[in-house]
Amino acid sequence: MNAIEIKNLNVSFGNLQILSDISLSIQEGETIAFIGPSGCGKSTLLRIIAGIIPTMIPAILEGGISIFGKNPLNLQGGIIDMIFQEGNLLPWRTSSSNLNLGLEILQNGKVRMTPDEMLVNVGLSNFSKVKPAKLSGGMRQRISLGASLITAPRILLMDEPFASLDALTKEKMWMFVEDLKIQSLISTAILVTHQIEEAVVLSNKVCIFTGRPASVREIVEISLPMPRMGKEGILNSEFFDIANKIRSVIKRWENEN
Amino acid sequence: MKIKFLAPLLFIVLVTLAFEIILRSTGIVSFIFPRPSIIFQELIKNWGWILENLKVTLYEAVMGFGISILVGVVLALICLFAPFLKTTIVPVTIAIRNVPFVAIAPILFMVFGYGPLAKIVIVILVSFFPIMANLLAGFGSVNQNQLERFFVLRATKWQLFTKLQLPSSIPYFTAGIEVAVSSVVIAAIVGELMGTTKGLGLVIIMSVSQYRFPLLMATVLVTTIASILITWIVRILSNLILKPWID
Repeated sequence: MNAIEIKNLNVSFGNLQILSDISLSIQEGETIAFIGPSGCGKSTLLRIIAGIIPTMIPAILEGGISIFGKNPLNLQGGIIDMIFQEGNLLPWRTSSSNLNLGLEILQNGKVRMTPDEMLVNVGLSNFSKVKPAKLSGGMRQRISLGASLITAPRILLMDEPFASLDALTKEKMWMFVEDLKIQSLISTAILVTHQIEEAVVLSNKVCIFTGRPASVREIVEISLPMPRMGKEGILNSEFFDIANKIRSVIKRWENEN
Repeated sequence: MKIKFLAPLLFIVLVTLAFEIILRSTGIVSFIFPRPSIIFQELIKNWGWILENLKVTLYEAVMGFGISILVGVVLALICLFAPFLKTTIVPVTIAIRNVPFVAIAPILFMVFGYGPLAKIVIVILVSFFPIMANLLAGFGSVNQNQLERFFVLRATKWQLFTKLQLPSSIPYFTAGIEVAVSSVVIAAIVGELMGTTKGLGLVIIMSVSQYRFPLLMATVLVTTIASILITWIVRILSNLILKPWID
């Protein structure tokens, strides 16, 4: 079943066209990474899928988009959740209380596990009473992921979630997300990233966009088995072949333009 | 902690001593520029009268401040929940804030009399605006990503307000309260100076008309200390009550 179906989508902010003729289908359980030049419209597409555009940010949309067969604007709460570069955490809430936020808002929604159980799952059971300011960047993103996954959303949208982390922490986070996927805690997911390696580690497909107005340049399937990082974080030669293939598609587009 | 309090205290003692020595050695007439020792003598001599009037001024300041918190919060909430009214409320409050009290004092005295009520209204006029403006800034400061997440989760307007907008605005609210409270005592006294039968304003009017400058300076000293103490108490209280949302 297709979780997300986009057909001939054109989007503009006034006279400025952002997305051009996007057609894309994402199956349930699949993770797709969006890669493309800065400002090309990857995050805009993410916000269109979430229904934020055009509800909160006015834009002109032409073409079709459906989430589990429905218009994104008609979706009920709990189907989608998001995580951002700065995380999802409210600074005045403790880790446990931040994990509980989605449950408080959805009230009658699905409860995958309690905040305490989720803290164990994200490996931070000793930090339940700690506020985000006292946590490291990696810890904050672990809690943010937990906060988004606690209500079992069917689609998780990740907008450059690890961009502000250092290289080592980033690799640990990749392993952590891989683990969440193996445990089936993450179902369908879209990852917006600038890092090719991140896209290859975490996704089943990489969608490469052109510059603005963004259109789909190529979709690269990744059939490497999970986990791709391994316990020692070692990536094999097949992994680098795929990463180089993606890099060459991007370079080719840059040379043409 | 001790150094935190000792340093300003030591500074005040040193400045007072310096004034005493300079005024004594230069022989400046104490009638024009009273020495600190004379001011303290006058303060002790008139303490009962000053205290009686201080209570009136403090009552006006505290009541006015309390009501101005209420007015500021209510106006900010109206602007948040009925944004079409914001374009009316904000310019009107700016206009009210900029009306010279001297010009409206006679009207206030005619409407509310020469008792504390007119001064309480003046305190409200001075102090509600920073509370309202800061709270509005706080509501507007909500992180865009968090707003988007609340939308994706389909949070209700009430959930958005109680779980995001209100807690986000708390640091701005406390800053607004501190700005407002720092001027409530002086606002009450300015109100009293324009017409009163009680309060520190009356003590100031009497001291000036009778050329009792040491008493005038003693009253100024009491006013300053009262202002500092009120600001300090409000800061401690707001930090205690709102601490969970400030960190």
